[in-house]
Amino acid sequence: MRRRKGSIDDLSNPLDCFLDVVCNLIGVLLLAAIISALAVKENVYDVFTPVEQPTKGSRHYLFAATPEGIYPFEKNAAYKKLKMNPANHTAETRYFRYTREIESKRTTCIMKKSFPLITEMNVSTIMEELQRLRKSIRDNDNFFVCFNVSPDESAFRLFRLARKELWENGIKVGWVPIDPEKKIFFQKGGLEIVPQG
Amino acid sequence: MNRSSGFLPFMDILTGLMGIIILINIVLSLSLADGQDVKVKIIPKEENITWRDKSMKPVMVVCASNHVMLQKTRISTKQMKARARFHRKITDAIEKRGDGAYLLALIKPDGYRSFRYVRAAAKALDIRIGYEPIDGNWEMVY
Repeated sequence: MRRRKGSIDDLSNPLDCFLDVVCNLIGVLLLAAIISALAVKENVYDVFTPVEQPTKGSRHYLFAATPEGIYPFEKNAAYKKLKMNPANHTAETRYFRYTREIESKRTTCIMKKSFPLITEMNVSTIMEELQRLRKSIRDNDNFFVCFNVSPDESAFRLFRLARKELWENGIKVGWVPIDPEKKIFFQKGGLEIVPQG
Repeated sequence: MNRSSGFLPFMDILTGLMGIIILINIVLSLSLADGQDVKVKIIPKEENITWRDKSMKPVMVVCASNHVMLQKTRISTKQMKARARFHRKITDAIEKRGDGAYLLALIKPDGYRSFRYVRAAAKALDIRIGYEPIDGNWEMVY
């Protein structure tokens, strides 16, 4: 009898231990499920969106926001080059090639494929780039920064990061959804560029 | 032996429960990883607004590939081309919201063409407009 009783205890003890392990595992899994459910539920982002601000004669600096990175158009420098050498109808900046069309009186702009200046990793350097384009960025009421943003989620995210950086420095920002990797025409009566904020 | 066999149905239930919880965990982690239907609250940025004393009431327009959603009304590109009727719909929505109402266009990656109709309408009707790029999987929280 004693022997038999002992054998039952031997059998139930490992089962108890296994039950403990299973119960603990269920507890941990339940905890993980609750945390995941809360994370899914509370995954609400706030996005601040300003309205267009009417401006007159405000100077703007154009940037292209693509999935790869942000590139300055350096439009002023290109127009200066075109003006200085009217016989030559093309001018190149670091990232774009500008061509003046005589008949249509418009300037076309094509992106040159190269490594982007500003990426998601160094988005704060947009302020340094802006400082390079414009000596004084203190008089931030007289100018704004505009982005031509590629219709792409990565480009959208990059634009939002750059905009946040500029807003934190008190600079007005505008944007237009346009594909900067395609040929862009600069002419009167085109897509209006207005700051928001 | 009787005691050990009494455990087995209970173990079955526990194992089944474990399976269900593991499944729930997998589904939740997948939805977190994929970022499906990320909930986003669009807040009007009120700095430098000329009507600071009034509260801003956005009339949301979601711009998608071949249509826009004006509040809960779907308007196709074809309907947007009928300019007078499209303008009327926007005016009605703005008037319904009352003072401080303005258009807030939320542009999906494939919706930049339909946005041009919305912006042109806002300009023609002299309605203030704000616009924001949104990802395809964003779900708006009002």
